[in-house]
Amino acid sequence: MKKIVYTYILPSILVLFLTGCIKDSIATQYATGDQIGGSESALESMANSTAAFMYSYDYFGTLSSQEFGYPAMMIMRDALTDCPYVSTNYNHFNTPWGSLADFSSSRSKQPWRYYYRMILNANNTIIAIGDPEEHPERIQHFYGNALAYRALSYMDLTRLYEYKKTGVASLDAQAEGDGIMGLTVVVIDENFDVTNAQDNPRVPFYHMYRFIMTDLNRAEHYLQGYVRSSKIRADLSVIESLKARMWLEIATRFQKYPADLQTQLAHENDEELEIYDKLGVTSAAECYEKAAQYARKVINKYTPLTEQQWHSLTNGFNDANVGSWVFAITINSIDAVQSRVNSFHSNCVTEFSRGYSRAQYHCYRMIDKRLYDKIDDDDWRKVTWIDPADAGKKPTPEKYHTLLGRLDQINGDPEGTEWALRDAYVGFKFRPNEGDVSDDYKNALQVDYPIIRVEEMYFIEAEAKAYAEGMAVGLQALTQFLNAHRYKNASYSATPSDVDDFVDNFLLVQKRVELWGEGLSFFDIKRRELAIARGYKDTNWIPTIRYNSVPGYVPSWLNLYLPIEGETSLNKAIIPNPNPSVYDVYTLWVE
Amino acid sequence: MEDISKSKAITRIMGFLLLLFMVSPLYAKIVITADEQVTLHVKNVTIKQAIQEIERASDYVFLFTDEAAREMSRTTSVEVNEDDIQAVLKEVFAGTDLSFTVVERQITVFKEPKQEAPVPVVAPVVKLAEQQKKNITGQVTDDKGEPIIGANIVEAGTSNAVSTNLDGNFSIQIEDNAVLRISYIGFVTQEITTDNRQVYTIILSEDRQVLEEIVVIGYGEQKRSAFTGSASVVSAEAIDRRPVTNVMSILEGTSAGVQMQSTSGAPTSSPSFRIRGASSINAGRDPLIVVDGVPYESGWNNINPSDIESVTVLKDAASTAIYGARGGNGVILLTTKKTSRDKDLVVTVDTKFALSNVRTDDLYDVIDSPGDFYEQHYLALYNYYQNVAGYNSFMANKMANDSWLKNSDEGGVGYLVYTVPEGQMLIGHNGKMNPNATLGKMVTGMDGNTYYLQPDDWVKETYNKGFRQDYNINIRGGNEKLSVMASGGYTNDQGITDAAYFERFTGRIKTVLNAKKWLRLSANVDLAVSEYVNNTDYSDNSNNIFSNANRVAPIYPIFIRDENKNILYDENGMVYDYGDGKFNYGVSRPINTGSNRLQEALIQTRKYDNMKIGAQVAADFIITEDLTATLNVSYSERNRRYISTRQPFYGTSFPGGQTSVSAPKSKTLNLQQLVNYRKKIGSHNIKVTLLHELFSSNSYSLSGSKSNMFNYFGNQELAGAITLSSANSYANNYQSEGYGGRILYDYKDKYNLDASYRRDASSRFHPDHRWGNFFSFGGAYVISREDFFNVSWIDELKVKVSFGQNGNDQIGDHRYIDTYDIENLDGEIAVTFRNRGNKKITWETRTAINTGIEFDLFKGRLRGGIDYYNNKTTNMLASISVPYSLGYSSYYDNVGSMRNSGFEIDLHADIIRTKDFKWSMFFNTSLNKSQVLQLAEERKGETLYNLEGQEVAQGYSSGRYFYGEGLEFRTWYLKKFAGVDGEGSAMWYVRDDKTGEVSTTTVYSTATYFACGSSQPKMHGGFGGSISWKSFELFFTFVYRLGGYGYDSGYATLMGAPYNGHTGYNFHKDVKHSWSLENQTNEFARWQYDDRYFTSASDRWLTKADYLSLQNVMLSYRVPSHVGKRVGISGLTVSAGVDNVFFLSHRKGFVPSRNFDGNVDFGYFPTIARYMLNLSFKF
Repeated sequence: MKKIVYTYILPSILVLFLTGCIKDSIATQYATGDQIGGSESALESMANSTAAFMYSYDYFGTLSSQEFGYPAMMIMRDALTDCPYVSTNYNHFNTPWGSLADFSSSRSKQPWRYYYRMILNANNTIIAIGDPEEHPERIQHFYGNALAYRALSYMDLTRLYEYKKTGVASLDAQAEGDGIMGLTVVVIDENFDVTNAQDNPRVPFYHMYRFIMTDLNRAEHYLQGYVRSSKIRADLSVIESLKARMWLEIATRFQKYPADLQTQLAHENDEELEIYDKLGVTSAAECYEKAAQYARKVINKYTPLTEQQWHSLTNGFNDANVGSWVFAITINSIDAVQSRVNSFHSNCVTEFSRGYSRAQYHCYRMIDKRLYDKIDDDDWRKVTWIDPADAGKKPTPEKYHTLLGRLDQINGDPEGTEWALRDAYVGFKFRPNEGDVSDDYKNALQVDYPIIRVEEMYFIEAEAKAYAEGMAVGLQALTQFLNAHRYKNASYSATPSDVDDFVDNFLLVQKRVELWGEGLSFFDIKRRELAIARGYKDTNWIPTIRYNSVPGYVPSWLNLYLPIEGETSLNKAIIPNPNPSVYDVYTLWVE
Repeated sequence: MEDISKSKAITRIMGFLLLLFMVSPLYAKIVITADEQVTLHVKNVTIKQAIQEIERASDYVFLFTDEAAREMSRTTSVEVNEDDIQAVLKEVFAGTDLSFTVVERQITVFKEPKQEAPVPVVAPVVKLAEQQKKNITGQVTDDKGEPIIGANIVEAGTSNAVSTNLDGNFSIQIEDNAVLRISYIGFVTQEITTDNRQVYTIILSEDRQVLEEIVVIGYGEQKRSAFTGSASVVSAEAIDRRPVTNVMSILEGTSAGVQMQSTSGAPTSSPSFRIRGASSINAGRDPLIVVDGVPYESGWNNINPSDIESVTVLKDAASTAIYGARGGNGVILLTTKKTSRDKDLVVTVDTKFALSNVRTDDLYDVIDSPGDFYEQHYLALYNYYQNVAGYNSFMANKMANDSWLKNSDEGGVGYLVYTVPEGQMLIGHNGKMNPNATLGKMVTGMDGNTYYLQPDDWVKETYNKGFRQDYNINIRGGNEKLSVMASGGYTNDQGITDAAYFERFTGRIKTVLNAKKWLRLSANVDLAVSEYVNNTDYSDNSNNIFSNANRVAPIYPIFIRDENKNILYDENGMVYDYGDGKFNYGVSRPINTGSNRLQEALIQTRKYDNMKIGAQVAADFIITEDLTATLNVSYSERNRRYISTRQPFYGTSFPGGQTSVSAPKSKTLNLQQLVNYRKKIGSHNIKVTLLHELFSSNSYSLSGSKSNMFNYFGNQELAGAITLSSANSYANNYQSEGYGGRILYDYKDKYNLDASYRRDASSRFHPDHRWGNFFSFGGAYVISREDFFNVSWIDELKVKVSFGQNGNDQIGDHRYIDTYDIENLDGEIAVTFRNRGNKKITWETRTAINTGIEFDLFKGRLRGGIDYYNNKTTNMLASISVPYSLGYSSYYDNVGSMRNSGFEIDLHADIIRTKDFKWSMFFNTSLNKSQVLQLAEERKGETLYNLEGQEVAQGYSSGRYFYGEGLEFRTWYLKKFAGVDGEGSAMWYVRDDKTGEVSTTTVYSTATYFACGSSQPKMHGGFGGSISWKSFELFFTFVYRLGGYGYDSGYATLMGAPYNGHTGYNFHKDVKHSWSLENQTNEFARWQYDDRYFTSASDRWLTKADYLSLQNVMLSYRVPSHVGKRVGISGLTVSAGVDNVFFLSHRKGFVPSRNFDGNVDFGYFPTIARYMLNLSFKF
């Protein structure tokens, strides 16, 4: 017995005792840094992160209803400006964007967090590539793409968060007092030392403009000759479009505030900014010229949507392959469709049969009535929205292009109830994939979203020309575009009183109509410092959110509130914007 | 009850054996052969030591009378070769006046009465006496009347002895007037002088002195008196009393220092625990659960509570340090019932029946009459139209009355369920219901037909009466070679809603095989198969059937009625109203539009199939008498299959139906190697344990979802649907490994010391930072055992102190490395950033000091202990927040510290202890203070102020809590309600950042966040007791909490005035007390549509979180044994009682025990009250 114990058992126990068995836990649900490693295929996957992040889902795990990538950013900006909703119950963008309430809530952190996550993905790619000159062209194209997405993000951030005067004395005084005028957002780039994040101030506009322009210049360089596989990747025309946008933004600022131009020039030789390219302009007019030049470069490569393309029931605003789309989100597989309800279509597309925008929840997205009223009957875009005269009718009036009839067929309803259930001003623009109104949302949501369309370039060109070459030139450009591409009888004509009137009351009206639902009006309204009126006779805004901002100023709610918890409380160098406090600083409009 | 006392006795015997086992001397040689021939060689040892040798080597158990015990220190020398036990014992007792009897394996040692006649005379007397013997019979019971099986009856001064049978009966031939000595292990030996009676009833009382209580500790057991740490023990008795699915539910109120959170009352829910407060801000606070020595992660519902012998909560570091790393939040040890060597198989049957009902204290006092609701909604609109829109009272009345059928964005509720005469208004100018309005209304549906609307009672329809059944059978028996425990159980719980159902079969078999002299094998195999339904969609949300019951205004119908007021039927039964306007002019119900949670619970599947199997095999190698090695392998696997569907029939959510199937699987493997060595040198006892342990846990997820179902009820598998929505699978793995050792030392059982060391690794840390070292030391001094200690009323008094360290790695996997999501970009792979890792993270450490006294007073009438502890958590695994601009919000690092300190008091008293009447009580309380000591620099950016404008702490806020240095854990951080102004608007305090002045504002957004008090209890615990009279016994248990505030979100929500998009929600009855010109209260703001700030988060909704809950009250009756005997059973006990009787808090519906930190919502499964009938017996 003892023999057995001593010969076998004791040694075995001893061996077991001394064997260290612990192993690393292998991640399968996601990838870890060491799995990614340094291979070229890994670099490629990393480089794809920016484009993929355009439609990622639930990335922070805190507010899935608003965490579906760039389309959510588009909705949010439109909810703040041109797109009222019929109902608030299932409108997940109501708070704070539609209701204008509670900007300090955690919901309002979304854009800040989203864009900086995008920037992180871009920076990771840029860091992983290192010096692009040491890489083959293919990798240089990745590099250019990362820069393009980073520039897009900083452009959006700057335009969302820079405080512009509201005409509300208390807010403006606070902003002045806190010294935030002219400040944009914080810069995190590939050279940023993370230990400085706690002491990282918002950089002034003259810094930001050069930073963005440098990224665009470098992207322009590295994307020369790049033929992309899909419009979710940035090629040269994307950079040109972004430059057109950027130069128009800069031009408007320097034209409205010549002092800012002087500030820009005064810092031209700042040591700190040496790493960036200089803007190389000395007047607002030069900026307008550059905007027009870059817009034209893009115009020459693309063609505006035709009436048939615009109103296509199968491919309308869901297919990047049309000649007008410059840059897009492209979703082409079942697993890229993440959530049925937490998606752009659920929130905005009333023909999508499975979302919040269907008849059951009537979370319909409308066009602002006053904007709609400015659409001419000769404008074939007008039937994109339900005319009040046609709302509630049975059967569906003929002039509209809609999938609702198909829905009625599926519902076995010959009368055409679906149309009757839609309210006036509700828009049809973005169609489910292939016009699929069945309950197969995984198919219906394999759609593309426009980020840049060439039509925007026409407007940029017209506006830039109006300021650079005179109103008549701009007006002619606009008229030409509309008559060639949007008006049935080439009947568009306008008689603005001056160039500002032309831009703000004619050009921008057309631009807002054209880009409705694409999340772009925000930037023009803020850039041109236009007021927003939600309260007026027969308004289609919900009664409790009818606030009108001060004419001639930016509405306070377009100066987004920086996250307190998460940024200003942790980054001591940052000064937040005043809380937009809409309910407290404006008076509710009551009929 | 019989099985309980018996199992208790068995535990004690085994514990006693173990104790003897531990203190055996080295210099003895003892061999016992298979035919029980004993060889014993000892020289100059005490009798006690010799006996211990025999006990250790054999199955013999010795009992001593008090007199005999005093002789134990005499020395003896024995040289016996292969003789029977009688011969050996004669040698052992040679030269003393000790005598003994051997009955089966029980040896009773007693002292020969001195007055006995001199030896030479004895023989003839005995012979003579034999002729005069008479026969008597009797029964031996414990003080509860339970028969004692195997009690020893000895005729004093003779070797004439018998033992009691299964019924506790005996029969013996004795001399006239003989003295009988009745003994049984664990009981005070009793002597009775016989008289001329033939039948005797002998009641033995438990002997607290002889029977040392045994505490289950890590990797072993220990005498309670030698235990230096702090532990709470719950016995099978307490577990058996309540009809719980989950054994852990028992711990509430019975264990000092254990705070329990029961988020849900569902039959399948598992409570969470905090032992001695929250030990970490960001890392997990869950204790380690150990079942039969092995870490357990396979679902508490898979353990049949009736299989559990005891639950021990180890609270201090000295006793948990041996679990090293993972014991930082305390350790809960579950021990399953033991095997038995009893040749007579004992079968215990236990059944429980219960009628279940919702505990009404969990439901808020909401408006329950449709008229009241309309009036209240009207008032809100009326005030709005007057105050905001500026209408006169006539117009305001008209506008408000016009709104009933409007949709929610226009202030309407969609439904008017009163018939109002043509041209009249529902609510008059006096704000009251039009007396001519009658309840019920004919309306036109969208199909043109007429339907009848009448409100239904949502609360009544939500909660049903359910029936619960538990059946358990337990069989124990065996022989010297093989001992067995087998059990089977069946539970069926219908729950209290259509959304919950639970059915479970369990089986367990445990065996111990003494294979060889040097080898003992044991196996413990268990199986649980269950099926359960948990159809609470949107759980923990304001949108499920439970919040529905409170929230849907009492004006909405549940069912659709035709024009004859009869409920309509379709192929799925009654037709429910989905609020989509189909049967109501096309106007929808604003709350849960297109949905009817009640029917959804009926026809949508939310079903789990669950199977858990566990197998534990251990081999003990007895290398020498003092050295043993154990190899323990335990494997556990849990497989579940979950199907959930979305119905295709109503509303239009899922027109083709949708089914989702998932099959999560998890398995754990634990490997232990233990070496135990013990040595006794004189009065010094040492026991050394060395161990190595490896734990591996794998979990797998596999899920898919499809829509467009072919046959909704007939085929709910993925194959039965055509459109793929999602498919996914992944696996997770966690491993930990540890080496350790422990030394237990005692001197004369008076001075006890222990020390342990463990080195642990976790796969959650980078290999370079994976290992942590954890120490502990402890000491206990049983002062009452000192010779000088002579206080008659103190039976035992112990002073103890311990110090130790533990770790905590509960932060999830892969926190030490960056992670990326893998996404599809147009057919290419993209990895987008997910989380920032920190390579340097390592164990969070808890250093704990525990000291206290334990006492046993007045002959066991008052027992208990008082503990003080001070636990400091350092190197806290803190989630370090970074500015969002970095693209991520946080990473983990070891920074910061916090402390939990406090007192625990645990008392048990036998207030009255007579033959027929006994009244005992228990009481425990714990006073804990959780304090954050130090935070990472990055987390000190915010300053917390109090209302006086003074700085309270630096730190950070997260949600509604503030974490600040020097501040109590999770201090409420809210805007502060300042009452109501002259116009009825709510006010809050605001602090001017520049001047520090505090004023009030009616602008909610500008109000300042202040320190708003504690979320933690000052004191919590339980008390209860039992009162017994003859065969009746009444038990009851209360749980209480005092101190701290809870945030009553449910109340706040129900107090909210309607606003656009938010109508049709019910109100709390308190809204009737809202501010008005006539009632200028400072407590409630005015009642006005679209006034949405009053109910915004502020300390207005903090409510004192004190509560008192009567958890259980039970009356049991033990049927006299002669009744049971006729049908061949014993120990028949019938009991009846109520579980979760009531819950008293500062507001009905507010149940602070749902959340440790007072964050209480109302979308939870309410607690189930159960009316029980239990029946148990043995045969």
